[in-house]
Amino acid sequence: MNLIENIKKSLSENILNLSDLEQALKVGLPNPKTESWKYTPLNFPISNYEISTKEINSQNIELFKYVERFSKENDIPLYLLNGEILNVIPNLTKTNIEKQYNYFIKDFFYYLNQSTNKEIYSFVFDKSSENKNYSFIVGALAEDDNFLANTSLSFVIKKDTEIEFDFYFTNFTKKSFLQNNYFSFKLEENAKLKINILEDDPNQLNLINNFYLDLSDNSQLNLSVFAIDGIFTRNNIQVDINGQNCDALLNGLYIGTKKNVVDNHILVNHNKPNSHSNQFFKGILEDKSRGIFNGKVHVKKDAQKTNAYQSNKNILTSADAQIFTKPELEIYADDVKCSHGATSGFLQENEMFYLMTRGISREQSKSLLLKAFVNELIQKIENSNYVDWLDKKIDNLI
Amino acid sequence: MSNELIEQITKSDYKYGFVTNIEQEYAPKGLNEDTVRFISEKKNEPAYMLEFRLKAFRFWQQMKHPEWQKVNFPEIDLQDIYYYAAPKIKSKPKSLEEIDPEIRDTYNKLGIPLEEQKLLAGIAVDAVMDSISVATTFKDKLAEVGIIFCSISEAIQEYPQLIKQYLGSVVPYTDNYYAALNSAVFSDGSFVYIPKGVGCPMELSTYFRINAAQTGQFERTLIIADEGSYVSYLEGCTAPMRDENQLHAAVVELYAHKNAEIKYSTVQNWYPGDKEGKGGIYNFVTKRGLCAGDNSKISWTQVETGSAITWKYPSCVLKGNNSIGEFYSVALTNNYQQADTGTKMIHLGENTRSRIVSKGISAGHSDNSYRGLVKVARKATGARNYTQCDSLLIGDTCGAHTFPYIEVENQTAVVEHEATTSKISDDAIFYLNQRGISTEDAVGMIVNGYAREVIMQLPMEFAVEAQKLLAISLEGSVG
Repeated sequence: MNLIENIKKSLSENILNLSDLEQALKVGLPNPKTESWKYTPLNFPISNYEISTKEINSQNIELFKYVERFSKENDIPLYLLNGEILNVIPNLTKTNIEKQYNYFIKDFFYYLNQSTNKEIYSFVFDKSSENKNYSFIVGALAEDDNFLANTSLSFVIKKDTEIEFDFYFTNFTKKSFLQNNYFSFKLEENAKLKINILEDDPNQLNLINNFYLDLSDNSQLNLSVFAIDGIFTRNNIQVDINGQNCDALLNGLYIGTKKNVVDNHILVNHNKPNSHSNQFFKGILEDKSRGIFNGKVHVKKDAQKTNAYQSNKNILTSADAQIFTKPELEIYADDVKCSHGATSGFLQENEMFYLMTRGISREQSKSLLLKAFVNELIQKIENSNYVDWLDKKIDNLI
Repeated sequence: MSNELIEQITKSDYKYGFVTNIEQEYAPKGLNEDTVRFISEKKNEPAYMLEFRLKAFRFWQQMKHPEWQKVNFPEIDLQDIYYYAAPKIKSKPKSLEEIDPEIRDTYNKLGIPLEEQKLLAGIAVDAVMDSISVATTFKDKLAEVGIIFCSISEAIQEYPQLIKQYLGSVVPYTDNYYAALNSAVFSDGSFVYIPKGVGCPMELSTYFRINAAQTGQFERTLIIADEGSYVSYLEGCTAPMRDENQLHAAVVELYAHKNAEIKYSTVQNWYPGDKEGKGGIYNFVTKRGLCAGDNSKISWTQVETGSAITWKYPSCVLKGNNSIGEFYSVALTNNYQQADTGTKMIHLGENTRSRIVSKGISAGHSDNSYRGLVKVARKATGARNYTQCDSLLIGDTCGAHTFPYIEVENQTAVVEHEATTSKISDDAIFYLNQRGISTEDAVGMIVNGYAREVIMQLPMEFAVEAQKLLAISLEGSVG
């Protein structure tokens, strides 16, 4: 495959894991017969991509403009551009890759990611890191077209620590760019983690994001993912509840426009009893976009007294939009409460009519109704700066 | 609930497990083109049928066994099965008195009113033992209104026009592995044709029984409802208790024309295997209905309590505008039974509606999966679907799973899916105990209440049977 050859050519052998590259070739690209990629077409020419080896121009104006828009006090930003860390923040160490990464699904993209990362950066956050906002800006500043960046990071949230992360995935150039990211999080006892993920790119971004979260006793997770723009977006989010009394809230909003593909694959494994999880995802599909949602709850035999909920609601606003949703349950314990729901619908004529009789134009009624649909999710974020900024962004889209 | 009670409920016996000693005629064991030719020849079929079978067989040879299902079983040795086993009948029986008394006894034991005098219930029966149809009752009366109700081999001889037109039109032999196999080696089954504007005056029914050892049953049912007609069709199944697993791979095709309605009800009680999961029937069936005309309706109701493995998806293709598809299912698994069942609703026409109600009950060491597809095609403007699938777990050694696929390609579609999983609450049991009802009876009552929405859809006689069946199948499993 071209892609593999490109990588081999551009990087020297001491950076590359050749065995992983070969493994990637062997596994091959996912196709419609691969169950987890059944509805997700790779709508970009993946084999033309290569790794960027050029120096990064960190003085790029676009970048600062982007950050300024939402920067807050106490903000500690970390820039990950073209797969490289630009600045250094405290709590950073480098570790050997093998120990960290064996829980991800071993597919083509996994091996691709591994092939250029012999070591990964890992962060440890403890009590001393509380009350700060950590922003991770993951983007591209490539000068040429068709660049690929493999990013791997691992995070440990120490006992009793409460922390909040904001992730931004974007592209500061108009060049086509593919991000293949793997992030893992370990929450120790009583840790609280809040993650807001924004996937937003008006230019050409193809994004494959993998999040793995490992929860210990009494830990709490609150994850929100907003996939609002991008040619191709795929989120694999896996939560392993390996402790008791955990709380995992996963919220998501996806908006498909143009010919974009947006895909959320969520897996929550309840391995221990007495925990609670909730998946709440909403989608708006416009134009010729395609949305995919696959949420799965797996309750192991010992995970009694589990409460797991799942909800997925979609609105299609155009005759050419498509939605494929599959909310799955796999349950091996009897004393559990699990439910899931999925709906797909369109803007109700009578609701539109109601607004229009009050002198609101058709266009405005439409956006008002869509706004109401997404507000439920946006309001779950407490940070008001962020909400305002996101609000405007969504306004422009709908 | 106590574990003892769970034990009790899971430990009831299968009461239809007897073997009838009648002389059987077999095809040579194994599967090759000669077997297909043998079956066709034995049944004295016209050339077009042999061609159909051979085409299917050749296609099947190139197919691989699917792997996506959530049921586990050792590979089936298809060469170790008799593909044709028939009770020896010297000549075709003219009346019911001429039927082998042994066969009649069998059906009497099963409580099937084969004899006409018992038919006050007003059900016309087509009984299929192993591979061939042994008796069809009430034929003449039905013929008066123009309804054809006979075995499919008879239809192949006498109504070649209809067979040529409809056989394989809903489930083509290319559809799946077992449908291809069935198309090649099917031996018998029922055929129903309801002419224009006729409402079938009685319930039609088929009783299937596998009797011979080491055989597979491959029956084929074809029901055609012409414009403005109505038919309600019932199907029941039993088999003897044997240590080996037997394969049952049937194909059922329903074809509804304009304004026609077909109601298809199944009470499936094949031998589920013993408590250790030994033996039992593999029930791998392809059932599909096509709402070809406008305003047509197809409704599937199934109560599944038997079989070691149930693997089937009775589906509706809603092609005609304003057509309706319905699917009501109760699937109960106990001991080591496995079920992967559900439905497919394919919306192609405008303003098509579908409704799915699926109730899964798992007990013992069983695994019960719902797998469904709701697809709204681009042109299906105004399509509507409502899906409800609930699972009930009894005991902590069983599993319940749901895999709903929802594919929407039309913005005007409204699709709703909801599912819950829970156990029988201690409060509910306590409440009933308090009123002097034993825990075992209480569980039976609660399960019946839980499944009521589906059982109500069955014709009365079947509903009573289904209720009893649920209670019996659960005996010894209270948890």
